Formats: sequence, structure tokens, C-alpha cells
Amino acid sequence: MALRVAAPDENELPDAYGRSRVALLPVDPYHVHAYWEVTPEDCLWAAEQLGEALETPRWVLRFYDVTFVTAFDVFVEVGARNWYVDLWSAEKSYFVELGLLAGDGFVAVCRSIPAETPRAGPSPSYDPKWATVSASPDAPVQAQPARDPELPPAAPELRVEAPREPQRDAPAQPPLRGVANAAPHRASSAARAEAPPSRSTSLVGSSSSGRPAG
Amino acid sequence: MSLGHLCLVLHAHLPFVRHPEHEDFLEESWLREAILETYVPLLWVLEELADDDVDFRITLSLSPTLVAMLNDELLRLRFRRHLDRLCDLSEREVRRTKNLPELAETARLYRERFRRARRDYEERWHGDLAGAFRRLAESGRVELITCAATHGYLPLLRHNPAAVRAQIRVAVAEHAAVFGAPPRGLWLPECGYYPGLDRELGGADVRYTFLETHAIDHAASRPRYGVYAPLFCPSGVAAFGRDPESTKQVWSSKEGYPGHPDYREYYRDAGFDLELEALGECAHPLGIRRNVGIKYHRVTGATESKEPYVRAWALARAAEHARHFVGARQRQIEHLGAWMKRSPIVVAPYDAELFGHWWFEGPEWLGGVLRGAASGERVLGLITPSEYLAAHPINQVDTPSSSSWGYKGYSEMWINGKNDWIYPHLHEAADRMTELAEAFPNAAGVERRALDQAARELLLAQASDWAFIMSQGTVVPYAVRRTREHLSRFRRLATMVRAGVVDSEALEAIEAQDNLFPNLDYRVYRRDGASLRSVPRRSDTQPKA
Repeated sequence: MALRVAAPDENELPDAYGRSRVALLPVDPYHVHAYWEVTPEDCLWAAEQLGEALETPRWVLRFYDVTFVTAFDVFVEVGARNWYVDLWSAEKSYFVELGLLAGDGFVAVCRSIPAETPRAGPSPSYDPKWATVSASPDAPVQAQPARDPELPPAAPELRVEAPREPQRDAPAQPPLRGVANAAPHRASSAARAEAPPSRSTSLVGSSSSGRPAG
Repeated sequence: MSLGHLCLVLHAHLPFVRHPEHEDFLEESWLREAILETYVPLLWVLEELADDDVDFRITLSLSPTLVAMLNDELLRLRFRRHLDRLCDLSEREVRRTKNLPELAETARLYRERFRRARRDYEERWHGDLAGAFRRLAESGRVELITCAATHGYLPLLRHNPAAVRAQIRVAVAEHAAVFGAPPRGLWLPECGYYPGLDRELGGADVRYTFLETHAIDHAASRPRYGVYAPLFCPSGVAAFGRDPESTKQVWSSKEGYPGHPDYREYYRDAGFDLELEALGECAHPLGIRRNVGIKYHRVTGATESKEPYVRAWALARAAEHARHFVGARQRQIEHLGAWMKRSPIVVAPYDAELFGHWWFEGPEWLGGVLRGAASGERVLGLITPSEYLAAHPINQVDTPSSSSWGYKGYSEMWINGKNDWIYPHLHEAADRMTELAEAFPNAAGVERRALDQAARELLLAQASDWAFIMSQGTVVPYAVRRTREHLSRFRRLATMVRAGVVDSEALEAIEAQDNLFPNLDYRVYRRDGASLRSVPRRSDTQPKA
């Protein structure tokens, strides 16, 4: 079989795509990778914008910390077209602008979309919330708030008139009884196919988006 | 009901290595080795347990590229040819070792295994291994789930939501087409996760996934039960966290079972030990040596001088290690049960190819674990995630932390100085694909085929395997070539569609080469994913008129 899908030199990738852009990719909680392309036109344009600066303009990645509305600059070699940046704190959301800096003057050529760095350790917060999701294959994947299963059972039905304790984790909920719709069943595909249509769709509650048939 | 649950998960994946352009392509042997050494032995073990009416449970992720290869006629043909050659070689080896008492028994072992594999592949499974797994799933003992379409590492593709969505939805659609039902779970490639990825899973009706331990331990609010109960992500998708203890016992090269001196040594293969002439057609026609899967030695210890393999010792050791594993899980569950006010679930996921391919006795060990855990001990029961969620419908809602199960727990393996050059190209191509899907919302005929094929090429370029190989420094030229080829084919197809002139001969050649995912619909790359959306999104976007 003589399939000729491409000659070897047809597999060369372009050096540039002709569009200035910068992208920010988190590597781990304390490292991000940035890559960019700056067109020659945009290089000239940025230099012109700065005008006659006292200092020699330098390319920087200006990091904007979305979380705390601060910024810092990282000088880069624009010809390298990518850079790894060490960070001193984790769990941040940044976007960067790539631009020319001279003195107080900064001209951004392109801007990345935000990137989040991961948390580096356990969260200081402990505030468990609970939910249920119908196990029926016909029900949409949607979490409905539920009561902490370790709380003592709700008041017995005989005392229907008694005011219920406000539940910190489960505000204004549909009745928990709906959970019974997710009764245990064997997970074979045959058993799933035979499972009756879930009534728990009533739990979808206030969502205005009805689910289309099929 | 047992005190706690063990959820065993195997993730089976290979990149798409199909090379019709060569009669004998080296990298295609990855598939043949994995079939013969892992998937067939797993089927032997699982079918035997089912035949013995053992009520076991295991969750098995079959990646869409692997399933595509298992179902490919050319690759099936080549696997049969490979088996024939191995049967011949093992026959010659039995004759050669007749008077070498230390090796003779092992030589006969391989001859019997290869013959049995050939017989079962033809007569029992009729070449359809995916069908064999489907029948096990129909018995309710195996839960089949999918993975991302080409095992794309999603945290580094996320800049374009459509790229992530396509990896997930193409996988779900292919799984449903092959196995007759959509998957309830999806194995995230390399456990790569970021907050919000669960929305894409939920949007494809995927109900659960698996994450690395610290994804759960570092969740936005500390999880009450750690990894011993799943979290519901805000989207409602359940995230099961990997148990570090059971992981280490199997994975660790130092403390793990597979390193025991009695087990078979992987790195001493007859393909390198025998004279080239003795290998016959099992060597590459160009005289390049390669593994043939006949290995006569055991691990022995930290020495280059390896002792002969003794099958009986190895099997006894596998049985002992299986008992040890089940016992350790029982003690773990007793310990967890003492402080948890619900049944703990211990999630133990492994790469499937560890079993049989790397750890020769792994399938027997697994059979021992499944048999032991299913044998009615009251402490421990086997469970699938679906069964667990049905039995425990209320779980903590939380946002797991970005993570992977790779080196250092984040993305470094897939983005570093050795492979970072791929991302500008991958991202550019994904953006072009989205633009094409928007610009040609109702393509038909040859234009439609070109767009579908462009999507296949993009997906193939995104496989995490290429970045991984570049990091590991193994077969780097191949990984580089594959990345470039798929991106180039993508560009050629995109250019044709844009120009309004599709060269149907060129298109046919590319379709014949990269022939996976017959059900793919390029419109999955539209920005809103509207045409293929199965569940309305709760977002602010208005459907396009």
C-alpha cells in the first residue's frame, strides 16, 4: 500500500502565526509558563508609542494578580518567546501583559487570559456543605443541596407543627425524601436500563432550564 | 453491608499507533505487547472469576484510542500474524531449551500461553476484545468507563473550552457507540484536573471521575472524610480521590509488590538475549531487536546477574501478596470505620498495563485480590463508583484543587523545557478549529469530511503521550514526528476548507491513515457546543438563533 500522506518537509510547522499573543500556563503552585509571539509591526508600534525614552526600553511580562489587584514585572528576552516564572505564593489568579517598559512608560502589545495557580496545601477553611445528585441515568448531573448526613435525624413526623431548627448547611430545600429516588441498585447496564424514570426531576427546583427529551 | 468498600480501577490506554504505510512499524508493537501481555491475561482472569460465579467488582477505563485500535481490522490482522510468529518462536525455544532444565519449563509456559491466546482470540473472542469486555460489563461485575478522546492532558488545553469539551464529548460518543451505553464515569488523563473541568464532564452526562489524593485533600473546604468519601464538585460530578496507601503497595518500585525477587524480570527479554537468526521474523526486518515477551529470568535482587524464573514461586508469591493486600485493606477500613460515620471507600486506581506487561504476575495477583475481597469477609466489599453513589447519594460539595497524578503532582511532566514548544501550535490549531466550526456550521459532503478529519488530526496531536515521551526522553523522534504530522495534516485540511477546494484524494489518504472515531462530528468545536449539547448549560450564553 503506497499511501502518501505528506512528504517529510510538509510537516514543518510555522515559526510564527502572524498574530501577537501571549499565553500563561500554570505548571504548579509556584511556577507558570508564558509563551508569546510579537509581530514585527507590533514591535515597531510599541517602540513608537514610547517615543524618545530616557532609558532603553525593555520587554516585560507584567503580571496582574486578579485576587489582590497588584502587579509586578518580569523582564524577559522577547526573542526567547517563552519564559518560566517562579512565584512566591500559590493559589493566585493572574493574567499577563507583554509589553515594552521604559522608565514609567509601559506599552502592552498583548494580554493573556487569566490563569490560576493551584493551592499548595490543605485549605484553612472547614465549612462542609452537602448535596445529592440523582443516580438515575435519566436525570441531569446536577447537585441539589442536602442535609449533613451526620446531623441527627430531622424531627419525627408526629411533630409536624414544631418549628424546624434552621439548618446551616441546607437552606430552603426540597424535601429530603426525594433522596429515596436514588435507592441503591446494581450498576449493570441492564439494571440501569430497567430503572424506572426518576421522579427526582422535581428536585431540579428553580432551574428554569428544562431538559430536552432524549 | 460490609463495613467499607474497595474500589479497584484500571485505566487502559495506548496512543493511536496504527501505521498502514509500513508492513512492520516498530511502535505498533506497543499495541501487540499490551494486548498479549495485559488485555488478554486480564480477560482470562476476569472471565474465570465470572465463570466461577465470583461476585467481584472492578472499574475499567478503556481509552477511546485503545478501543479504536482493538476494533481495527488491519491491527487485528497484524496481531494474528504476530501471534503466529510468537507461537513458532516459542516452539523453537521449547526445542532449544529441551536440555536446559532451568529454562525448559518456562519455555513451555510461553508456548502454552501463546497458543491459548491464539485459540481464545479466534474462537472465544473472535478478535473482538472490546466485545469481551462489554460482556463482562453486562454481567454487572465490570463497570466500563471512558477517558478523554486521545488522552489529551486537559489542564494545558483549557485556554480553549471547546478543545476540552471535544476531548470529552468525542470520547463519550465513541464509548456509547461501541459499548451500547454512555459511560457513567470518565478517567481524566493523568488525573489532570482544574476547577471547572467538572462542568464539562457534567455537561456530557458524566457522573464521576477520579482525582489524585491532593486534589481532594487540598479542596476549597477541607473534606470531612479525606479521600475516603467522594466529593461532589459544584457541577454535581462526583470526584473520587486516590488512596495513597494502596497505591504505594502496588506502584512503588522499592516497597511495591512487583519488585519482589521471585517475580519475572521485565528487562531481560529473549528478543535481546538470543542470536538474531534465532528470532526469525520476531526481529524487525531491518535487524532491529525488540522485546518478544519471552523472558527467562526473575527479578532476583539489585544485581545484573539474574537467576532463572520459577513460575511456581512467582504464583505462590502473587497469591501471598494478594492476601496481604486484602488484609491491609481490611485493617485500613477497620481503622477508618472507627472515626468515620459512614462506610469508607478506598479507591485504588492503576494503569492497566502494569498488570501483565510490566508485572507479569499482576493479573494473577488481581484475580487473587478480587476473589479474596469478594469472598464474603464482612469488613470489606468490592464496589463500583456507580454503586457507591447509589448507596450514598449525599456527599460533601466542594471544589477539588488543580492537580495530576504525574511527577510532583501538577503539570510539569507535560510542560517543561523539552516539550513546551508544542503548546503554541496546539493552541493555535484548536482556535482555528473553533473558527472553522463557527464559519462552516452546516458543512456537507467532502467539506464535512475534511472538517471531521481536521478535528481528528487536532485530537491526535493533543495526545498527552507525545509530551510525556519528550519528557522521558524515550522515543522522542517518534513523538515529535507524530505531533508535527497531525498538526501539519490539520493545517492542510483547514487550508483546503478555507479555500473551498478540498483535494479528495489527499483527504482520502489522510482518512485512511488516521481512521479512528467514525462517529465524530466537527461541530463539537463550536463555541457554545450547541449542536451536540445533551444538557442545557446554566450559563449566561444565549443559544444562537
